[in-house]
Amino acid sequence: MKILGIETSCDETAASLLEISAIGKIKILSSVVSSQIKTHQQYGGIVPEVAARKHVQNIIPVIAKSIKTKSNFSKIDLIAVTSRPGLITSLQIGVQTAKTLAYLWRVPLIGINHLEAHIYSNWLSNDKLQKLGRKIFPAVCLLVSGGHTELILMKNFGQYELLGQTRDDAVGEAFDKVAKLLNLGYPGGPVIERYAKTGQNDKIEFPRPMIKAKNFDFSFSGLKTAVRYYLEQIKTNGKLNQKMIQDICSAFQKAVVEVLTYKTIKAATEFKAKTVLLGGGVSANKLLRSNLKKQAQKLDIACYYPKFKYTQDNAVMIALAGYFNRKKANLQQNWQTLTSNPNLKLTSKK
Amino acid sequence: MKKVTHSATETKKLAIELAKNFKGGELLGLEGDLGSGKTVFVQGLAKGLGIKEKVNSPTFVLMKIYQLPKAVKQITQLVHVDAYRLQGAQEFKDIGLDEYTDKKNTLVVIEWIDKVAKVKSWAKYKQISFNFGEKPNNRTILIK
Repeated sequence: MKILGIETSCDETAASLLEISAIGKIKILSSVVSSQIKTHQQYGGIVPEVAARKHVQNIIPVIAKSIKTKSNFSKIDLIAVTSRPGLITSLQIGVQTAKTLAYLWRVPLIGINHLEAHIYSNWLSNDKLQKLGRKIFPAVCLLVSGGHTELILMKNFGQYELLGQTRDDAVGEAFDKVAKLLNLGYPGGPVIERYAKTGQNDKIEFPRPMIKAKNFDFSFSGLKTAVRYYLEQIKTNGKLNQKMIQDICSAFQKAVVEVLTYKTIKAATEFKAKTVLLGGGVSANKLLRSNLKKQAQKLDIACYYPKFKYTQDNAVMIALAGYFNRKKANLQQNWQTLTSNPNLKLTSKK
Repeated sequence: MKKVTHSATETKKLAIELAKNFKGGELLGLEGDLGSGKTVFVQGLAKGLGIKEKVNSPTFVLMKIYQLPKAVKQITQLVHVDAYRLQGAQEFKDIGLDEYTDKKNTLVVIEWIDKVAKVKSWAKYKQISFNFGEKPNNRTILIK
Protein backbone atom coordinates (compact mmCIF):
# COMPACT_ATOMS: atom_id res chain seq x y z
CA MET A 1 0.00 0.00 0.00
CA LYS A 2 1.04 3.59 -0.64
CA ILE A 3 0.82 6.13 2.16
CA LEU A 4 1.22 9.89 1.90
CA GLY A 5 2.50 11.43 5.14
CA ILE A 6 2.14 15.14 5.92
CA GLU A 7 3.82 17.02 8.81
CA THR A 8 3.42 20.70 9.78
CA SER A 9 3.32 20.59 13.59
CA CYS A 10 6.23 22.93 14.20
CA ASP A 11 8.96 24.32 11.96
CA GLU A 12 9.14 21.86 9.13
CA THR A 13 6.77 21.50 6.24
CA ALA A 14 7.25 17.90 5.18
CA ALA A 15 5.64 15.27 2.96
CA SER A 16 6.62 11.72 2.19
CA LEU A 17 5.40 8.84 0.10
CA LEU A 18 5.90 5.40 1.59
CA GLU A 19 5.24 2.01 0.05
CA ILE A 20 4.72 -0.95 2.32
CA SER A 21 4.58 -4.44 0.89
CA ALA A 22 2.15 -7.16 1.91
CA ILE A 23 4.77 -8.61 4.25
CA GLY A 24 5.43 -5.22 5.83
CA LYS A 25 8.62 -4.25 4.03
CA ILE A 26 9.11 -0.49 4.08
CA LYS A 27 10.20 1.39 0.97
CA ILE A 28 10.63 5.16 1.10
CA LEU A 29 9.57 6.54 -2.29
CA SER A 30 10.12 10.16 -1.31
CA SER A 31 10.85 12.38 1.68
CA VAL A 32 10.65 16.13 1.21
CA VAL A 33 11.46 18.47 4.09
CA SER A 34 11.36 22.17 3.52
CA SER A 35 13.49 23.20 6.45
CA GLN A 36 12.96 26.71 7.65
CA ILE A 37 16.05 26.89 9.77
CA LYS A 38 17.71 29.60 7.65
CA THR A 39 14.81 31.98 8.14
CA HIS A 40 14.85 31.22 11.84
CA GLN A 41 18.57 31.75 12.39
CA GLN A 42 18.19 35.32 11.26
CA TYR A 43 16.12 35.98 14.36
CA GLY A 44 18.01 33.82 16.87
CA GLY A 45 15.03 31.55 17.31
CA ILE A 46 11.98 30.22 15.58
CA VAL A 47 9.52 32.86 14.55
CA PRO A 48 6.17 31.12 14.55
CA GLU A 49 4.32 33.76 12.58
CA VAL A 50 6.87 33.30 9.86
CA ALA A 51 6.60 29.53 10.35
CA ALA A 52 2.82 29.48 9.90
CA ARG A 53 3.04 31.66 6.81
CA LYS A 54 5.84 29.52 5.40
CA HIS A 55 3.77 26.38 5.90
CA VAL A 56 1.04 27.90 3.71
CA GLN A 57 3.59 28.74 1.02
CA ASN A 58 5.39 25.41 1.25
CA ILE A 59 2.71 22.81 1.69
CA ILE A 60 1.48 22.39 -1.90
CA PRO A 61 4.95 22.42 -3.55
CA VAL A 62 6.26 20.00 -0.89
CA ILE A 63 3.37 17.56 -1.36
CA ALA A 64 3.55 17.87 -5.16
CA LYS A 65 7.25 17.04 -5.07
CA SER A 66 6.71 14.08 -2.76
CA ILE A 67 4.15 12.38 -4.98
CA LYS A 68 5.97 12.91 -8.27
CA THR A 69 8.30 9.98 -7.87
CA LYS A 70 9.93 7.74 -10.44
CA SER A 71 7.12 5.27 -10.18
CA ASN A 72 4.89 8.15 -11.25
CA PHE A 73 1.63 9.13 -9.76
CA SER A 74 -0.23 6.03 -8.78
CA LYS A 75 -3.06 5.53 -6.41
CA ILE A 76 -2.45 6.56 -2.84
CA ASP A 77 -4.18 4.26 -0.36
CA LEU A 78 -3.98 6.33 2.80
CA ILE A 79 -3.15 9.86 3.93
CA ALA A 80 -1.54 10.29 7.35
CA VAL A 81 -1.22 13.76 8.84
CA THR A 82 0.11 15.06 12.16
CA SER A 83 -2.97 16.25 14.03
CA ARG A 84 -1.53 16.60 17.54
CA PRO A 85 0.30 17.98 19.52
CA GLY A 86 1.90 21.19 18.26
CA LEU A 87 1.18 24.78 17.46
CA ILE A 88 -2.47 25.00 16.47
CA THR A 89 -2.01 27.46 13.59
CA SER A 90 0.71 25.28 12.07
CA LEU A 91 -1.11 21.98 12.64
CA GLN A 92 -4.22 23.28 10.93
CA ILE A 93 -2.41 23.94 7.67
CA GLY A 94 -1.41 20.28 7.38
CA VAL A 95 -4.74 18.95 8.59
CA GLN A 96 -6.86 21.14 6.29
CA THR A 97 -4.69 20.27 3.28
CA ALA A 98 -4.88 16.56 4.10
CA LYS A 99 -8.65 16.71 4.49
CA THR A 100 -9.04 18.45 1.14
CA LEU A 101 -6.88 15.85 -0.59
CA ALA A 102 -8.68 12.97 1.14
CA TYR A 103 -11.99 14.36 -0.07
CA LEU A 104 -10.80 14.96 -3.62
CA TRP A 105 -9.04 11.62 -4.01
CA ARG A 106 -11.58 9.60 -1.99
CA VAL A 107 -8.80 8.24 0.15
CA PRO A 108 -9.01 7.36 3.88
CA LEU A 109 -7.31 9.78 6.21
CA ILE A 110 -5.76 9.33 9.62
CA GLY A 111 -4.60 11.85 12.22
CA ILE A 112 -1.25 10.99 13.79
CA ASN A 113 0.22 11.78 17.17
CA HIS A 114 3.58 13.37 16.49
CA LEU A 115 5.17 11.63 19.49
CA GLU A 116 4.08 8.20 18.35
CA ALA A 117 5.60 8.97 14.96
CA HIS A 118 8.96 9.80 16.58
CA ILE A 119 8.91 6.36 18.20
CA TYR A 120 8.25 4.74 14.80
CA SER A 121 11.23 6.58 13.28
CA ASN A 122 13.23 3.70 14.81
CA TRP A 123 11.56 1.24 12.41
CA LEU A 124 12.76 3.38 9.49
CA SER A 125 16.34 3.06 10.60
CA ASN A 126 16.71 -0.49 11.88
CA ASP A 127 15.84 -3.45 9.64
CA LYS A 128 16.12 -5.66 12.68
CA LEU A 129 13.11 -4.03 14.30
CA GLN A 130 11.03 -4.79 11.24
CA LYS A 131 11.96 -8.47 11.52
CA LEU A 132 11.47 -8.78 15.27
CA GLY A 133 7.84 -7.65 15.24
CA ARG A 134 6.26 -7.91 18.66
CA LYS A 135 9.26 -9.65 20.20
CA ILE A 136 10.79 -6.30 21.17
CA PHE A 137 8.05 -5.49 23.69
CA PRO A 138 7.83 -4.24 26.34
CA ALA A 139 9.97 -1.32 25.21
CA VAL A 140 10.87 1.89 27.01
CA CYS A 141 11.01 4.92 24.72
CA LEU A 142 12.83 8.14 25.53
CA LEU A 143 11.48 11.05 23.46
CA VAL A 144 13.65 14.12 23.60
CA SER A 145 13.27 17.29 21.55
CA GLY A 146 12.82 21.04 21.76
CA GLY A 147 9.27 20.62 22.98
CA HIS A 148 9.33 17.19 24.61
CA THR A 149 11.01 15.09 27.23
CA GLU A 150 9.01 11.96 27.82
CA LEU A 151 9.58 8.43 29.00
CA ILE A 152 6.99 6.09 27.53
CA LEU A 153 6.36 2.42 28.08
CA MET A 154 5.34 0.76 24.83
CA LYS A 155 3.64 -2.54 25.59
CA ASN A 156 2.63 -3.31 22.04
CA PHE A 157 1.99 -1.51 18.75
CA GLY A 158 -0.39 1.31 19.67
CA GLN A 159 -0.25 0.65 23.43
CA TYR A 160 1.50 3.32 25.41
CA GLU A 161 1.82 4.40 28.97
CA LEU A 162 3.37 7.70 29.96
CA LEU A 163 5.93 6.97 32.69
CA GLY A 164 7.38 10.42 33.19
CA GLN A 165 7.96 13.80 31.61
CA THR A 166 9.66 17.12 32.21
CA ARG A 167 8.23 19.31 34.93
CA ASP A 168 9.54 22.50 33.36
CA ASP A 169 11.81 22.92 30.33
CA ALA A 170 12.17 20.29 27.62
CA VAL A 171 15.71 19.02 27.19
CA GLY A 172 16.11 20.56 23.70
CA GLU A 173 14.90 23.84 25.12
CA ALA A 174 17.57 23.61 27.84
CA PHE A 175 20.23 23.16 25.12
CA ASP A 176 18.81 26.19 23.24
CA LYS A 177 18.69 28.39 26.33
CA VAL A 178 22.16 27.46 27.55
CA ALA A 179 23.47 28.20 24.04
CA LYS A 180 21.73 31.57 24.28
CA LEU A 181 23.37 32.27 27.68
CA LEU A 182 26.74 31.48 26.09
CA ASN A 183 25.94 33.48 22.93
CA LEU A 184 26.48 30.44 20.72
CA GLY A 185 23.45 30.89 18.46
CA TYR A 186 20.56 28.65 17.48
CA PRO A 187 19.80 25.75 17.47
CA GLY A 188 21.63 24.95 20.71
CA GLY A 189 21.93 21.15 20.46
CA PRO A 190 24.49 20.76 17.68
CA VAL A 191 26.57 23.80 18.71
CA ILE A 192 26.84 22.70 22.36
CA GLU A 193 27.77 19.20 21.23
CA ARG A 194 30.50 20.65 19.03
CA TYR A 195 31.99 22.81 21.81
CA ALA A 196 31.63 19.97 24.33
CA LYS A 197 33.87 17.75 22.20
CA THR A 198 36.96 19.81 22.96
CA GLY A 199 36.03 20.64 26.53
CA GLN A 200 36.77 18.84 29.78
CA ASN A 201 33.64 17.38 31.31
CA ASP A 202 34.96 17.19 34.86
CA LYS A 203 36.07 20.78 35.38
CA ILE A 204 32.63 21.92 36.52
CA GLU A 205 30.04 19.94 38.43
CA PHE A 206 26.51 20.89 37.38
CA PRO A 207 23.52 19.36 39.21
CA ARG A 208 21.78 16.17 38.01
CA PRO A 209 18.18 17.36 38.53
CA MET A 210 15.77 14.79 39.97
CA ILE A 211 18.17 11.91 39.51
CA LYS A 212 17.32 10.62 42.99
CA ALA A 213 13.56 11.26 42.75
CA LYS A 214 11.49 8.10 42.98
CA ASN A 215 9.67 8.73 39.73
CA PHE A 216 10.46 9.08 36.04
CA ASP A 217 10.01 12.83 35.76
CA PHE A 218 12.69 15.25 34.63
CA SER A 219 13.56 18.87 35.33
CA PHE A 220 15.96 20.98 33.31
CA SER A 221 15.07 24.51 34.34
CA GLY A 222 17.33 24.41 37.41
CA LEU A 223 20.24 23.11 35.36
CA LYS A 224 19.88 26.09 33.03
CA THR A 225 19.87 28.40 36.06
CA ALA A 226 22.96 26.64 37.45
CA VAL A 227 24.79 27.43 34.19
CA ARG A 228 23.67 31.02 34.53
CA TYR A 229 25.00 31.31 38.10
CA TYR A 230 28.29 29.78 37.04
CA LEU A 231 28.60 32.30 34.20
CA GLU A 232 27.94 35.21 36.53
CA GLN A 233 30.62 33.95 38.85
CA ILE A 234 33.13 33.86 35.99
CA LYS A 235 32.15 37.30 34.78
CA THR A 236 32.71 38.88 38.19
CA ASN A 237 36.13 37.26 38.48
CA GLY A 238 37.35 37.92 34.97
CA LYS A 239 36.54 37.13 31.39
CA LEU A 240 34.88 34.18 29.74
CA ASN A 241 37.25 32.54 27.29
CA GLN A 242 36.85 29.90 24.60
CA LYS A 243 38.25 27.13 26.79
CA MET A 244 35.76 27.93 29.56
CA ILE A 245 32.86 27.81 27.09
CA GLN A 246 34.04 24.39 25.94
CA ASP A 247 34.23 23.14 29.53
CA ILE A 248 30.79 24.53 30.37
CA CYS A 249 29.26 22.86 27.29
CA SER A 250 30.98 19.61 28.11
CA ALA A 251 29.88 19.59 31.76
CA PHE A 252 26.33 20.63 30.85
CA GLN A 253 26.00 17.94 28.20
CA LYS A 254 27.38 15.35 30.61
CA ALA A 255 24.82 16.31 33.26
CA VAL A 256 21.92 16.10 30.78
CA VAL A 257 23.01 12.78 29.29
CA GLU A 258 23.58 11.24 32.72
CA VAL A 259 20.09 12.11 33.94
CA LEU A 260 18.42 10.93 30.73
CA THR A 261 20.37 7.67 30.65
CA TYR A 262 19.93 6.92 34.35
CA LYS A 263 16.15 7.37 34.30
CA THR A 264 15.66 5.48 31.05
CA ILE A 265 17.67 2.51 32.29
CA LYS A 266 15.86 2.62 35.63
CA ALA A 267 12.50 2.50 33.81
CA ALA A 268 13.73 -0.31 31.56
CA THR A 269 14.78 -2.34 34.59
CA GLU A 270 11.62 -1.70 36.55
CA PHE A 271 9.30 -2.60 33.66
CA LYS A 272 11.49 -5.50 32.49
CA ALA A 273 11.87 -3.96 29.06
CA LYS A 274 13.50 -5.98 26.30
CA THR A 275 14.22 -2.87 24.29
CA VAL A 276 15.08 0.79 24.69
CA LEU A 277 14.11 3.18 21.89
CA LEU A 278 15.21 6.78 21.37
CA GLY A 279 13.49 9.47 19.34
CA GLY A 280 13.21 13.20 18.70
CA GLY A 281 15.68 15.94 17.78
CA VAL A 282 17.92 15.53 20.83
CA SER A 283 18.37 11.83 20.04
CA ALA A 284 20.86 13.07 17.44
CA ASN A 285 23.25 13.75 20.33
CA LYS A 286 26.12 11.28 19.99
CA LEU A 287 26.98 11.12 23.68
CA LEU A 288 23.37 10.30 24.55
CA ARG A 289 23.26 7.55 21.93
CA SER A 290 26.51 5.90 22.97
CA ASN A 291 25.90 6.24 26.69
CA LEU A 292 22.41 4.80 26.54
CA LYS A 293 23.49 1.95 24.31
CA LYS A 294 26.41 1.08 26.58
CA GLN A 295 24.27 1.06 29.73
CA ALA A 296 21.48 -0.93 28.06
CA GLN A 297 23.88 -3.54 26.72
CA LYS A 298 25.28 -4.10 30.21
CA LEU A 299 21.81 -5.32 31.17
CA ASP A 300 21.28 -7.28 27.96
CA ILE A 301 18.65 -4.83 26.77
CA ALA A 302 18.62 -4.00 23.07
CA CYS A 303 18.94 -0.30 22.24
CA TYR A 304 17.88 1.35 19.00
CA TYR A 305 17.95 4.92 17.78
CA PRO A 306 16.89 6.57 14.53
CA LYS A 307 19.23 7.54 11.71
CA PHE A 308 20.28 11.19 12.06
CA LYS A 309 17.95 12.34 9.28
CA TYR A 310 14.94 10.81 11.06
CA THR A 311 15.68 12.37 14.44
CA GLN A 312 14.39 15.68 13.11
CA ASP A 313 10.77 16.27 12.22
CA ASN A 314 9.95 14.54 8.94
CA ALA A 315 6.95 13.09 7.16
CA VAL A 316 8.30 9.56 6.62
CA MET A 317 7.68 8.72 10.26
CA ILE A 318 4.17 10.19 9.97
CA ALA A 319 3.39 7.96 7.00
CA LEU A 320 4.79 4.94 8.86
CA ALA A 321 2.71 5.73 11.97
CA GLY A 322 -0.21 5.87 9.54
CA TYR A 323 0.61 2.33 8.44
CA PHE A 324 0.70 1.01 12.01
CA ASN A 325 -2.62 2.74 12.73
CA ARG A 326 -4.23 2.03 9.35
CA LYS A 327 -7.10 0.04 10.77
CA LYS A 328 -8.40 3.16 12.47
CA ALA A 329 -8.71 5.04 9.18
CA ASN A 330 -12.20 5.35 7.82
CA LEU A 331 -13.01 6.37 4.28
CA GLN A 332 -16.58 7.39 4.97
CA GLN A 333 -16.13 9.98 7.63
CA ASN A 334 -12.77 11.16 8.62
CA TRP A 335 -12.13 13.92 6.12
CA GLN A 336 -15.14 15.59 7.70
CA THR A 337 -14.37 14.87 11.31
CA LEU A 338 -10.60 15.07 11.79
CA THR A 339 -9.53 18.06 13.87
CA SER A 340 -6.20 19.29 15.09
CA ASN A 341 -5.46 19.29 18.79
CA PRO A 342 -2.57 21.36 20.15
CA ASN A 343 -2.26 19.67 23.54
CA LEU A 344 -3.17 16.03 23.28
CA LYS A 345 -0.53 13.81 24.75
CA LEU A 346 0.44 10.29 23.97
CA THR A 347 -0.98 8.56 27.01
CA SER A 348 -2.02 5.17 28.10
CA LYS A 349 -4.34 3.11 25.97
CA LYS A 350 -4.70 0.16 28.25
CA MET B 1 3.67 45.41 45.40
CA LYS B 2 7.23 44.24 45.92
CA LYS B 3 8.17 40.83 47.30
CA VAL B 4 11.50 39.16 47.88
CA THR B 5 11.59 35.38 47.69
CA HIS B 6 14.53 33.23 48.73
CA SER B 7 13.94 30.04 46.76
CA ALA B 8 11.92 28.60 43.88
CA THR B 9 9.60 27.07 46.48
CA GLU B 10 8.91 30.50 47.95
CA THR B 11 8.23 31.98 44.51
CA LYS B 12 5.77 29.17 43.89
CA LYS B 13 4.07 29.76 47.25
CA LEU B 14 3.71 33.45 46.50
CA ALA B 15 1.96 32.61 43.23
CA ILE B 16 -0.35 30.11 44.95
CA GLU B 17 -1.41 32.90 47.32
CA LEU B 18 -1.83 35.45 44.52
CA ALA B 19 -3.97 33.08 42.46
CA LYS B 20 -6.83 33.68 44.85
CA ASN B 21 -6.95 37.39 43.97
CA PHE B 22 -7.83 37.04 40.31
CA LYS B 23 -11.40 37.29 39.12
CA GLY B 24 -11.08 36.25 35.49
CA GLY B 25 -10.36 38.18 32.30
CA GLU B 26 -6.96 39.37 33.54
CA LEU B 27 -3.86 39.35 31.43
CA LEU B 28 -0.60 38.88 33.32
CA GLY B 29 2.65 39.78 31.64
CA LEU B 30 5.78 38.26 33.18
CA GLU B 31 9.11 39.93 32.61
CA GLY B 32 12.50 38.61 33.65
CA ASP B 33 15.64 36.94 32.37
CA LEU B 34 16.33 33.24 31.77
CA GLY B 35 16.07 31.37 35.07
CA SER B 36 14.45 34.20 37.01
CA GLY B 37 11.43 32.12 38.06
CA LYS B 38 8.68 32.88 35.54
CA THR B 39 7.68 29.29 34.83
CA VAL B 40 7.87 28.43 38.54
CA PHE B 41 5.49 31.34 39.18
CA VAL B 42 3.00 30.04 36.60
CA GLN B 43 3.24 26.57 38.16
CA GLY B 44 2.22 28.18 41.45
CA LEU B 45 -0.68 30.02 39.82
CA ALA B 46 -1.91 26.75 38.33
CA LYS B 47 -1.64 25.02 41.68
CA GLY B 48 -3.48 27.87 43.37
CA LEU B 49 -6.27 27.47 40.83
CA GLY B 50 -6.51 23.77 41.57
CA ILE B 51 -4.97 22.50 38.33
CA LYS B 52 -3.53 19.01 38.81
CA GLU B 53 -1.81 18.65 35.44
CA LYS B 54 1.91 19.28 35.09
CA VAL B 55 2.56 22.81 33.93
CA ASN B 56 5.79 22.88 31.95
CA SER B 57 7.43 25.43 29.72
CA PRO B 58 5.42 26.38 26.63
CA THR B 59 8.46 27.91 24.90
CA PHE B 60 8.29 25.44 22.06
CA VAL B 61 4.54 25.09 21.49
CA LEU B 62 3.99 28.76 22.46
CA MET B 63 0.66 28.30 24.16
CA LYS B 64 -0.79 25.73 26.54
CA ILE B 65 -4.33 25.71 27.88
CA TYR B 66 -5.29 24.15 31.19
CA GLN B 67 -8.86 23.55 32.31
CA LEU B 68 -9.62 24.05 36.00
CA PRO B 69 -11.24 20.99 37.60
CA LYS B 70 -13.50 23.39 39.51
CA ALA B 71 -14.16 27.06 38.65
CA VAL B 72 -12.40 29.57 40.92
CA LYS B 73 -14.72 32.57 40.96
CA GLN B 74 -15.47 32.75 37.24
CA ILE B 75 -12.18 31.30 36.06
CA THR B 76 -12.45 27.94 34.30
CA GLN B 77 -9.22 27.95 32.29
CA LEU B 78 -5.63 29.12 32.50
CA VAL B 79 -3.86 30.04 29.28
CA HIS B 80 -0.06 29.90 29.53
CA VAL B 81 1.76 31.69 26.73
CA ASP B 82 5.49 32.06 26.10
CA ALA B 83 6.58 34.95 23.91
CA TYR B 84 10.27 33.96 24.00
CA ARG B 85 10.19 33.10 20.30
CA LEU B 86 7.77 35.81 19.21
CA GLN B 87 8.71 39.04 17.51
CA GLY B 88 5.72 41.30 18.07
CA ALA B 89 2.16 41.61 19.30
CA GLN B 90 0.82 40.83 15.82
CA GLU B 91 2.06 37.27 16.32
CA PHE B 92 -0.33 36.74 19.22
CA LYS B 93 -3.07 36.87 16.59
CA ASP B 94 -1.29 34.23 14.56
CA ILE B 95 -1.15 31.81 17.45
CA GLY B 96 -4.84 32.43 18.16
CA LEU B 97 -4.49 34.24 21.50
CA ASP B 98 -7.37 36.62 20.62
CA GLU B 99 -9.79 33.88 21.45
CA TYR B 100 -8.69 33.88 25.08
CA THR B 101 -8.04 37.48 26.06
CA ASP B 102 -10.63 39.57 27.88
CA LYS B 103 -12.77 36.50 28.60
CA LYS B 104 -14.30 36.35 32.06
CA ASN B 105 -13.65 32.63 32.39
CA THR B 106 -9.99 32.87 31.45
CA LEU B 107 -6.78 33.94 33.15
CA VAL B 108 -4.03 34.56 30.60
CA VAL B 109 -0.40 34.61 31.65
CA ILE B 110 2.36 35.50 29.20
CA GLU B 111 6.04 34.88 29.84
CA TRP B 112 8.65 37.11 28.16
CA ILE B 113 6.13 39.93 27.79
CA ASP B 114 9.01 42.36 27.16
CA LYS B 115 9.48 40.75 23.74
CA VAL B 116 6.06 42.06 22.72
CA ALA B 117 5.78 45.52 24.24
CA LYS B 118 2.53 46.63 22.63
CA VAL B 119 0.37 44.26 24.60
CA LYS B 120 0.78 46.40 27.71
CA SER B 121 -1.99 48.73 26.55
CA TRP B 122 -4.51 45.90 26.86
CA ALA B 123 -7.36 46.08 29.35
CA LYS B 124 -6.97 44.39 32.75
CA TYR B 125 -3.24 44.14 32.23
CA LYS B 126 -0.90 43.44 35.13
CA GLN B 127 2.83 43.29 34.85
CA ILE B 128 4.98 41.12 37.07
CA SER B 129 8.75 41.60 36.93
CA PHE B 130 11.33 39.09 38.16
CA ASN B 131 14.79 40.26 39.12
CA PHE B 132 17.81 38.41 40.45
CA GLY B 133 18.76 39.34 44.00
CA GLU B 134 22.26 39.66 45.41
CA LYS B 135 22.27 36.13 46.74
CA PRO B 136 21.95 33.36 44.12
CA ASN B 137 18.48 32.10 45.02
CA ASN B 138 16.90 35.46 45.87
CA ARG B 139 14.38 37.04 43.52
CA THR B 140 12.71 40.42 43.72
CA ILE B 141 9.22 40.20 42.31
CA LEU B 142 7.49 43.44 41.42
CA ILE B 143 3.77 43.45 40.74
CA LYS B 144 2.26 46.51 39.07
